[in-house]
Amino acid sequence: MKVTDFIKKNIVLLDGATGSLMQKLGFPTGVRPETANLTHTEMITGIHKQYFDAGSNIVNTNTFGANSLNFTHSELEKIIAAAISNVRRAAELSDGVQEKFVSYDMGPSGKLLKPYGDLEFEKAVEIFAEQAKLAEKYGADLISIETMNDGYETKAALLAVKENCSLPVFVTNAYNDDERLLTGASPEAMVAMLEGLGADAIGLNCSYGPDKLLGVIKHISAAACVPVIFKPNAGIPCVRDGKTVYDISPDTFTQYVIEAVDFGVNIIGGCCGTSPEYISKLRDAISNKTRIDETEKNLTVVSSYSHAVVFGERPLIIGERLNPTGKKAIKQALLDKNSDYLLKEGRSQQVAGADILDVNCGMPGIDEREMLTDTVYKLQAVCDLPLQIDTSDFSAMESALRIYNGKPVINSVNGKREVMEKVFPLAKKYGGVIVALTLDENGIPETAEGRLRIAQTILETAKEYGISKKNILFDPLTLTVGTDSSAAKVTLESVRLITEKTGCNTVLGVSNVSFGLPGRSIINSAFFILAMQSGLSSAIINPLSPEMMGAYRSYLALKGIDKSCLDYISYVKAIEGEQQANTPKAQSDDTLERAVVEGRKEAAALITKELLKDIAPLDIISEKIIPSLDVVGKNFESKKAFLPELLLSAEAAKASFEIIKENYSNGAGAGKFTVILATVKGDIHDIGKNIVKLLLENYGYKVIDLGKDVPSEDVLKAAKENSARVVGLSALMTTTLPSMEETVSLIKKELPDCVVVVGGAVLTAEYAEKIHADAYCSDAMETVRYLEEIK
Amino acid sequence: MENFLILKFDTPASDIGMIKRYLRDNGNSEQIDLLVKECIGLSRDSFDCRVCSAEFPVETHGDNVCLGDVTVKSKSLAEHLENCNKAVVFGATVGIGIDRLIMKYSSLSAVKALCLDAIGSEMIENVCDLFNQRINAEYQSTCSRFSPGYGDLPIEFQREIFAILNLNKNLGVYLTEGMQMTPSKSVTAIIGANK
Repeated sequence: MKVTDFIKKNIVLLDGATGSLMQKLGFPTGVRPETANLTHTEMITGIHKQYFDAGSNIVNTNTFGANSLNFTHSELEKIIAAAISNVRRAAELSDGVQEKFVSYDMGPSGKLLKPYGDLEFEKAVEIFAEQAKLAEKYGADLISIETMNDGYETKAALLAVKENCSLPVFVTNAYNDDERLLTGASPEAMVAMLEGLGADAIGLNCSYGPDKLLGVIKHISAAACVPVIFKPNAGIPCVRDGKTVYDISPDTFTQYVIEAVDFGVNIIGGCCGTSPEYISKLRDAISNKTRIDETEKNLTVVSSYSHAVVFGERPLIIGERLNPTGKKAIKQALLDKNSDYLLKEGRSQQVAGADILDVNCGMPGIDEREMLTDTVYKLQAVCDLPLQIDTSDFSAMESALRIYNGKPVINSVNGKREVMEKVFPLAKKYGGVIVALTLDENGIPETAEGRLRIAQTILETAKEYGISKKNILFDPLTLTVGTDSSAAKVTLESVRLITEKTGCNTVLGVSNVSFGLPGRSIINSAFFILAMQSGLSSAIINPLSPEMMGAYRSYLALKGIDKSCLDYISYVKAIEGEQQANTPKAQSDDTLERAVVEGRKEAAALITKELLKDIAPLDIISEKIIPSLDVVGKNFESKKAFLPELLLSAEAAKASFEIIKENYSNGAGAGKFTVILATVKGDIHDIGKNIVKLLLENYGYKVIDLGKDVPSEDVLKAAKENSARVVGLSALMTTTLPSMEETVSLIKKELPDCVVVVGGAVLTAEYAEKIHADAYCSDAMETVRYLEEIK
Repeated sequence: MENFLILKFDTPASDIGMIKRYLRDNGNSEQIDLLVKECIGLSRDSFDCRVCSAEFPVETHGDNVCLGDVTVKSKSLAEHLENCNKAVVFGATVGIGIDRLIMKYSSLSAVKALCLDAIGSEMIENVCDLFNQRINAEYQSTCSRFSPGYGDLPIEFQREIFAILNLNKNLGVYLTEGMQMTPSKSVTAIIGANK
């Protein structure tokens, strides 16, 4: 029988711990346990056999750390071949009459992924891919990805397995006592992502005893449609008399695990501290149990690194502002690769109440694939909302889906055959809820029935690709009421009809309804309410629009979704508070100079607005902002002011610049040269470099920030492409000084005229000279002063 | 190896005075105090303070120090542990939440990012101090914390500490190629003791 069939018809028994048995049998500590597959074949086979004897259906190979960070490829091949054959032989040697399978055990890499650690996502995929290929080559029946405490690494592993072999795959994560992974994911978020990527069974292992993990497994079980795995530790480890012991006995362990079986968990076993005795107790306990089959939960759900968002409970807000169409500032930010601006835009939509953020980077003159991928990558690291990947460039779509840390919304597919042929395979591979526009080769039908017909065709085609209807989000298309007075009516009717006939969730881009009309937000908000009343599940809108969010909050209150109108009340209080904060004008005796020196951001912005009425932007900069910054800079240098104060002033100056920029393009920074900034390869701390960046921008330099852990070739490439006059490099640790030296010498060799400035905690003027940098600057102000001298 | 422990600490209180020392701010600007307070509020819920530790017998042979099965050559560590027969080796972290906040505020406000960084640094020291107090109470005498990179104890000794305590699994702390710890507000150290 195939594993995939077996797990759907039985309560399946896994194995228990291997490491502790190895130690008991005298395997030395401090030696990589995976090598035992070659050196202690009989010991390892014996342990596997004990588990088969105890009743295990599936036994894991002894390959937890068998990856290319610990072994060479030829070592790995030998270890993995032996490990699989050891379990296979144990299965043959055991008298157990149960079905027996060999599972290749795939543990975490031992590295944290970027941007918080230093392992590239694609490098992680490679590490797991190598193992997956070998596991299949040497005849494993399935692969078990286990003990993953980072959702992103789990994705890398699962993707690698799906891409590189055809074996079934189980995935279990190690949850914390707060019921999340160490990197923040909830059980529901993991279920959404892992089912989306096509795991055959999912669940948890390790970390705590079954008592503490019952809550987590309940959450997983309530969300999952595939069989659920429960493989906890025998409690918490402690060392007594030099030996590690666990505090939960086989009987107690069994009791808790059976509780989970009773609510529908069908794959069980033990992790650290368990032994064949635990497994045989489990076998006895399930012998008279009837299997509770998994149910199709039919949830339309997306996720971020931290949480899942379910469609259909209340209408959801999808923030539309990260899109260059018609937005000058976003266009400019994309052209400048100014990710700070994009992140701020994302942040403000989240604060305003968005549930999901649409991300679109399509505009002429940029590499959409690179830009979309980069924006998604940066946004998902700091924003915990699920993202909607919005592009008609399929290569950009795939690249962004690949690195997305969760299950996204994919925007979009439509009824055109060639589009479905492109989008559905991507959605099937990476997972996602797909926005499906009800148009096809013949355009947009004029009637609701016509749009429903396209919806049905889309559903049928999706099914052929193995995509279920819960993952389709229909967009019946909003047309403008200004040119066709029945347009809105047909859209509303389509929402109702498609919801009723297909049972799918829906989405609309609302604001198109008012195209060409005055007072757009007035009519948009009314249309929005009507659409929600017609059953709309989600809307792509501007969450910063008070009219739209007012309509939304009112609707939820009026429909009784917002209990006791609590959200409505806090929403109104918040806007009233905001209005009060915005009303005071700049005090008449306040000056921009004082606001900058004292580091008052809001005041600086307000006064700048006033000044722009009478004074030329360049004069404001050269006569007011820069002299004030100089005052603070001098205070800093003479230790009358400290770094936080310098930064407050810098931010006030920045607020002022932003106002100027909004009103006059090319206002700030014209004429000054370009500076490349980077923290060198191997170094992941960049607070200091970010401070230098802020100050340099204040003084009008065009700064291109390459971030942290940047290889020397990338610095050189950016310096060449941007004809940079100056390159600034930082390093915090002595261990990364060699890459500082390497970068300096590469730049000096290829671009002898480029000025290289270095800084950072471990740098000194002597060292800077030794590695042939042009200058060492001890802080941000010194960097400014040095650059001001360069002609 | 004895007394292997994984501990979770309630988030200790932040000390504004100490945080300002990390900010190298010797001034008394009310504005900065308010800012630091605001950032303490922003970050409070992000902390998840944990320690993983174990006790090892100590023997020194010249510059070689044996901690259980592990031997390291370091004159300064040997001197530091001269009068100790035990060593408590530990890893501590405040979790990844503060790194996420610092990264987020790096694009929103440099000064807040700087404050959050200082708050995180102060917090991990607080956690180490709390753990240290516990150790002080348990042993007859203890000496101060000693970390890889101090004196001539090579920074690469981090690898050994990570392996013997399995900090990847037990704390969710990882080492980069450049021997930096992630999450960044993490510490490993050795406390010499007598029993």
